[in-house]
Amino acid sequence: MLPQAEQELLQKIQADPKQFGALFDYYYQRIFGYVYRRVTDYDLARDITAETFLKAFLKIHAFQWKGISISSWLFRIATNEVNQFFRKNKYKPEKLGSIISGELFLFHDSSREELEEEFRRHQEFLQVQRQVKTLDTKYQEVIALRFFEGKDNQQIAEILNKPEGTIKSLLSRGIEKLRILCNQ
Amino acid sequence: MEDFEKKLDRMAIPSGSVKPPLEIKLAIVNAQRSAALGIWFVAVPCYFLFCVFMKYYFHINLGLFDTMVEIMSDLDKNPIMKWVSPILLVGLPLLGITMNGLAICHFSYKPEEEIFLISVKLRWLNIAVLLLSLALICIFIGYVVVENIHHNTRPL
Repeated sequence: MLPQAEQELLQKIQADPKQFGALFDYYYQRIFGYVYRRVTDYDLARDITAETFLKAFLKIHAFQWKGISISSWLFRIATNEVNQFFRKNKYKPEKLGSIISGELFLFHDSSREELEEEFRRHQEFLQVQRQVKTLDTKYQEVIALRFFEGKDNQQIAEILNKPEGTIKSLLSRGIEKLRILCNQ
Repeated sequence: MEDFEKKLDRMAIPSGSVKPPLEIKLAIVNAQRSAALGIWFVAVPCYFLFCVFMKYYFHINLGLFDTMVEIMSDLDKNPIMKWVSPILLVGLPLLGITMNGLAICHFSYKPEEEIFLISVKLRWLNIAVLLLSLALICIFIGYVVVENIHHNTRPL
């Protein structure tokens, strides 16, 4: 969405909260995709995405246009939510994931099956992602935004609200740590 | 390192795209916290029942049981404090049922179709706490009912 269109939509939402549905429909896939690529758990990704949009809905009336796009703002909320999950489960992300998705949620869900099948076809991604999950969250977020979401340093800086220089050094150190992990 | 970075750049990324849901189903209360609180709520009634079974079926008297019974009969004498035991044994499990029920259920009403929908999220810990609380309440209420019937049908 172009900045002009985003600004117009923002004004509409602030005047009539029901217009938030348009924002939700437009960004849901992107935010869900980002969260899913980070946590690789369907139910968790759905919960985190729902939480992200709920927080966005509750705070959008206070959102002021200061050059940062709504897209980056949504990615920032989603990143915080994902980080919160990893902080709470710092030592057992894999374990918790397997409990939730392994046995307990076996009801039929075609979206889930298609998504999991698609991920199974990307073995290289899954191997890298498994290693990314073991990194500190500050490296996880920059690597995920850069290589999984295809964001450039400026966009990552906007999303994470950090200077570009910091992003560059975090990326450099994160990639080095990831390379060592992947080569082990 | 540059090679590795290039490898990451070239890596095929799954799209992870799903259709946006028509509505977001948010739980009324947090599922994990409800389950944790629910476990605390049923701890005392469970221990009490466990002691009862141990005492009357296996004739093993667990230390705290007599003290618990003594405290309960002392509290029974006070018109206000006599509510503490029912609250502990029935009230807290009832609260556990409510909290865990709200954590896994989503309610929606579609007036145009006159349909009331209840969705239940399969979180087994919440369901287990809910069922355990329900069983405890049934046992205690069942005991009170049977005792009353027994008491009322006793020959004068």
